Amino acid sequence: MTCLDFEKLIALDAEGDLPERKAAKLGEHLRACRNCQEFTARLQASQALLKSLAQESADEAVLQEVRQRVLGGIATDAEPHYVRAWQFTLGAALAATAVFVAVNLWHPSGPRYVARESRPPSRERPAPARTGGQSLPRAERGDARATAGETPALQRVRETSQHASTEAMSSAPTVPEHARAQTERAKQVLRERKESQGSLSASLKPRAREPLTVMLVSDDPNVVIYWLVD
Amino acid sequence: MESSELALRMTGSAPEVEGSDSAEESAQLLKRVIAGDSVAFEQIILRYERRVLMTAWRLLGHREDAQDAAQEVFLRLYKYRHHFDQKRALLPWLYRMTVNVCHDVYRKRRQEDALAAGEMDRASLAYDPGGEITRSEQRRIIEAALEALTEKERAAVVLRDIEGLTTKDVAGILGSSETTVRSQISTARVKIRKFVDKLEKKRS
Repeated sequence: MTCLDFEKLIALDAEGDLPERKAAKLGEHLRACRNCQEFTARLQASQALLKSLAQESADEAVLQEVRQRVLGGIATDAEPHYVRAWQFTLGAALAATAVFVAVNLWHPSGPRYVARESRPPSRERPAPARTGGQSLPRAERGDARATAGETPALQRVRETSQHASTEAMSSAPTVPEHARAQTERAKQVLRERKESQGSLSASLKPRAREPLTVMLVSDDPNVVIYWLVD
Repeated sequence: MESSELALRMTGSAPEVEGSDSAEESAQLLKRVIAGDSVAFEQIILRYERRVLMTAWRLLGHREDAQDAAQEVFLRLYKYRHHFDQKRALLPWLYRMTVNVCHDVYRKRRQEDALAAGEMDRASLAYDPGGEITRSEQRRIIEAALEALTEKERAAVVLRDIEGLTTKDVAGILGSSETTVRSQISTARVKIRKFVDKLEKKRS
């Protein structure tokens, strides 16, 4: 080993980082090498200077500045989180309110469900699985926007006719007695309506009317007859 | 450099390595921080800010950069407090984070300006030929010598010789083997000595 190699061992030995085996070898070399002895002394001096840096510390003002910046950074970091959460909650609440209002106030074309109040309370035969009567309770509320001046019976017929095409295919077949009674009632209402229209038609301008559709249900649940009345 | 002198003062004693009691207190404080106690976090800052700032200062050589680095270290601690392994001691984590943050700052700064050039000249100016070497001049020489080291050598020697950590602890913080750290430390000490030797030759 050369003196350059021993310099690294001297540097480690100065702070006790040299293993004992190598320290013994270094000791032997130092006893014989004056240059390395001088280098050891100089290195110990620079090490003392280096370690003296540990006694220095920053002024309190410098530390305080860092502390304030950290705590300020945490505060500004935390604030948007809460603000975002609050804004999100408010936005969600507003959106939910808007949807609720829109659903409850917007009725584009009258009632959506057909009242089938003429259906008997008990059925003579069990209904098939594909029954479509779940909408009955809601339909019982009626429609506040129904045509003014119509009799309740006429309203029922009109409502039945407007939605017969969609409801008929999914609804359960009704009993023949009920169907006949419904048909007869509808015919009677139509007759009354024609008579009243005839007396008024001379003095009133003709107005556009929706075609009236009457659904007739036969004994066979697969056969449904529609009667379109202009 | 003048602002650095003004902002530094002698404490008269080296910082003590954290004992087991102190580590236990830090663990309790950290639990409170995780639970959302901002007062506990401030206490952690008060407890470690000096070590973090001074380590960063030694690694970077500039007060403003060191302040930025220390700020970043504590902000990261707060940010990742929920992911912190509470079985591990806080101080080594802070040292490791300090070294990592300083590495980022140093790399960024090195891209912006050529640092190494002129360090020897600046150190030479610190000497007053024919006069006594004052303590502040000696400190400036050592600081210049530290800046002349490679980044890894500087980190190893700062943690080992200035912060007073063991070689094993330094190896754990730097993610290196003890053999590697010993090699870096010995190289750094020799370089520092030879840096001072060159200045003394110039002076004579």
